[in-house]
Amino acid sequence: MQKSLLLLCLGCTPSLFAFENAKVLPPGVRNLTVRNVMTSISGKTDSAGVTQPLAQPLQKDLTFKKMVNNEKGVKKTMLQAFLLHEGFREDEAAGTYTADMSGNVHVIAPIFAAGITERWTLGMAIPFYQAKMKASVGFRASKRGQDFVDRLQQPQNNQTESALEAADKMNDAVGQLNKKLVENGYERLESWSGNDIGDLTVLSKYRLINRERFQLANMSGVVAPTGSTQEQNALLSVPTGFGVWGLFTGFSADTYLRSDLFVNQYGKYTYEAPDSRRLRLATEDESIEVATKATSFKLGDLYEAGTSIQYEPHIGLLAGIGYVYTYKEKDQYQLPNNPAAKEKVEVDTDQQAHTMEYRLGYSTVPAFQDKTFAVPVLTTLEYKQVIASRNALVKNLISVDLMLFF
Amino acid sequence: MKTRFLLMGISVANLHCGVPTPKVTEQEVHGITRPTYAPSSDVFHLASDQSEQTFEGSSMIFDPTIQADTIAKIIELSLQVKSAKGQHSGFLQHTQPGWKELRERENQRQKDITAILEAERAGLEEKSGEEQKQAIDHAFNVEAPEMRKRLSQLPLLAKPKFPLFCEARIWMMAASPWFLAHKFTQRPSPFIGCEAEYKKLGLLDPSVATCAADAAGKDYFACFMEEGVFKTQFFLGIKRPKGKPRENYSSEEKLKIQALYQSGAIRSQFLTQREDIVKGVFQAAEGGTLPVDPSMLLENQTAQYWADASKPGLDTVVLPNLMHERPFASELISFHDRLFNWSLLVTPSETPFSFVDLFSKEVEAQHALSLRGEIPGGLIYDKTLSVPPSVKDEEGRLLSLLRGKIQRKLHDSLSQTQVDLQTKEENFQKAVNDANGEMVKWVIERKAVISMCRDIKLSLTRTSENVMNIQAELSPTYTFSACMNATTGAAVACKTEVPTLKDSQVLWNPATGKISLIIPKIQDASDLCLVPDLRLGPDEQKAFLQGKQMRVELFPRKLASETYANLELLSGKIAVEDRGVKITEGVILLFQSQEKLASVL
Repeated sequence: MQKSLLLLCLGCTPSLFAFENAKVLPPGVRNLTVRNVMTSISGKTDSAGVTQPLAQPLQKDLTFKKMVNNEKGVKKTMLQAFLLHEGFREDEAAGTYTADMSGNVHVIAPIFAAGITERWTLGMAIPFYQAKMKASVGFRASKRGQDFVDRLQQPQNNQTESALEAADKMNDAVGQLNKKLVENGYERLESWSGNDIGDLTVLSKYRLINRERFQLANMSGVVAPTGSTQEQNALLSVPTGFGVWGLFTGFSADTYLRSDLFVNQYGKYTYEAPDSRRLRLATEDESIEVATKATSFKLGDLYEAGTSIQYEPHIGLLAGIGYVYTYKEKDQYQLPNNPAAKEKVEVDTDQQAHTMEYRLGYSTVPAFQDKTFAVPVLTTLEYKQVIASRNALVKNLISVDLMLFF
Repeated sequence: MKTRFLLMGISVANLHCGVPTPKVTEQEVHGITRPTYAPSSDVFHLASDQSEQTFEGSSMIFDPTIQADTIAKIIELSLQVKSAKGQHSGFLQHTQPGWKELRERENQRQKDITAILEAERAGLEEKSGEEQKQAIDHAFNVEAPEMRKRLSQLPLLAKPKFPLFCEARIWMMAASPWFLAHKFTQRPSPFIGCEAEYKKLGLLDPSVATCAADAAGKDYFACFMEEGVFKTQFFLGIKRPKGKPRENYSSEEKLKIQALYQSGAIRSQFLTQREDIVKGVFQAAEGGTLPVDPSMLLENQTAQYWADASKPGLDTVVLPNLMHERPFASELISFHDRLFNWSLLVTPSETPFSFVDLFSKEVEAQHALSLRGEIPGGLIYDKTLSVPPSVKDEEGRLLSLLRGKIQRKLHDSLSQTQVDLQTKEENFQKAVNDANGEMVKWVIERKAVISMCRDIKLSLTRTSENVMNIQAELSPTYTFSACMNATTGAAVACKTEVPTLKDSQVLWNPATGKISLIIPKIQDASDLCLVPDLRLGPDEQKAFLQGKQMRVELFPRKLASETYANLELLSGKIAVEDRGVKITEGVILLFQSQEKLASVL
């Protein structure tokens, strides 16, 4: 529970260079792209690649053990004793939480780029996030839960008051969960909305080869942790950044099949710098009422590779289709003395995704060059579809870009 | 410039678009069926016909370090206690009505016997001359005619045995304490109807010195032995020729016998065996029938005497005759007594035999008749011839001894079913005690408690003014009392002041039946049933509880299943708090008090 229910940072969502290419801006030419990315999130894939509801982490059993752990002192011991005497195993469920959760995210990413030399273009982007998350949590008592209450109520046990207390707690399991969250500094599991900037990216793109049919560029840069990470106390919050410095480098190659049709291939590696943060030491057994600890960690590095074929005829039409593979290594936390918490915080943090992307747009640049249109503007509509993934959000992105050269 | 405006416009438009609120499926709660409190009237059935109920039981406050498996075992053991208690309770519920009836019958029988004993003892007291005269007049005027009538109607079959009956009467008189304890001015008659027979048989001959009248008064023991018992055919074991006296024991034997009675051995034997005679009579009286004939006791007593006397030579002379010849005196006395005196016994329409008849009427009247009817001189009672104090004391001792023996005899005489019932009841109680003991042993061994009160009492009384009074005693110091409206539970003043712990509270919730006993501050924990030699030392235990708040909550419940046989109880928890924080808990279990099968002894 301590970890973000979203698990994935959406800060990396708006790839700054959606359809990669090896092009650079001519010296003195600048452009400003305003990228609008919209997505809805309602699921994520597990470690086996199976899509699970986003609310799955909430869909947990209320075990008798949890009920025991919610009590203190001799009352806790007496509850344990009663379960033991009546033949209830502590790992049995008194009921199960049901939940549904989804979110909408809108990102506006202004991207500024300028041609420094013929080969070198510098760019910078800082996205702005608007996100809303909503969750609905319910509870379904099990037969064993009813059995437990009935046993307390049995005449020979004569614990009607305890039975009522247990029944009321189970009937108000959601309220109890929210109460426990609030008591431990969390926000209630209802809804969340937030607006924040994401991580700042500074990119350098340097064209290494510029032939008629083949162009190759290096793209390197730094990602500054200007975005917000998961709000520790808001389980529904959407992180807008990784929270650590990142350095990336990669190569992008365009192979022209015709003057208006080329194939792009690229690869990129992002190094995530180590950092430290205060962490709730959740375990599989208890994820709310836990201690916090300042912990060193290192997020898994990112690898990305893709290919696309792009069609840009002189009439201004822009079209493309591509494939992107992303992989993120497992996060590492320094918790040598708490293997349970380490396991919990690191589990399922390695991610991969196979994404198809489609693009359709129109550019006035040819018309501008022909002096038939006053403003060199480019607008595109892109659609990114995750076709397979592991430990990743199931999110299909729609982005609308408007690029102006000046 | 145009371009910049365009860019700004696009950005602002984007920002204002906002994010739509996501849609989720609202989740429902499918919860648990809430239990309800059992109706307290199941247990607190304080109707007008039952205004008070009491509960007894025990409590324990757990050591805060107690382990779950220890409490689980305590739960198991407490179920065993409840089960044992339920079995006991069920047995009592099933048995109590019949047992009460039996007890009432037994009590009545004891009262009757006591009355008889007292009457019999009263018979030893001096009677005034007037009383004696009235008794004798009554005997002569009322009873004598009846007796003579019966004698005249003696069946043919009975006539041959009449002489034997008269001889048996001599034995009976000789063994009578009344006879042994008195002095007479004339030889008393064993039975008025037999005097003619004695004359014919040469028995109790007044011409013999020991049987002669004595104006100064004397006992006729020697007369009855020498001229009576020793000459009867029961003693001699030889049938006497009809109408002819006979002496067939040698002079040597006669000397031995004389030595025997002169030593007083026979006399004392008869006197000390009086207890058995009376007891036997009571035995006969118990059922209103005559299962044991008093004369049989006489015979037994005599045989016992011969066996106990063990005089050298006597046993070889006397006992063979006594033991081997028939009929015995008892048979004849029985035959004739039934015929003449107790014939009413076998006549259903008539008044049944009573012990009083035997002692006060039949015997007294018989003596009166004997002494006055056939023997000149009339009245034999005299104030100067009262029963000696030593004899009276002896009678008192015997009566006391007898009472105990009779009660034991009553116990013995209870039917096997009754004894079985009591044995069962004892076994049920033992099972309860064993289960309780097992639990106490367990918690002590596990050092699982701090305090254990084992003699808790709680009573509820409902008055006609609809006031409920609850009194509880955890320990002699920790007592609670309060009055409340029985319908609303609101506190009301008690009419009678009852000692209660200072600042304590007693609450009663009529809706749930919950009874709360609250001690805001434990003033002296050492009075709270602390258990020594556990994990905490005595001082630590005291310090742990001292000054803390204690709350006892009890709920009524009726265990209606077959296992628990409608056992009614109060059970609940004890919470010990320190400034609002619970520091330990405990349990309390009280059972409704039940009337046990009263001991028959």
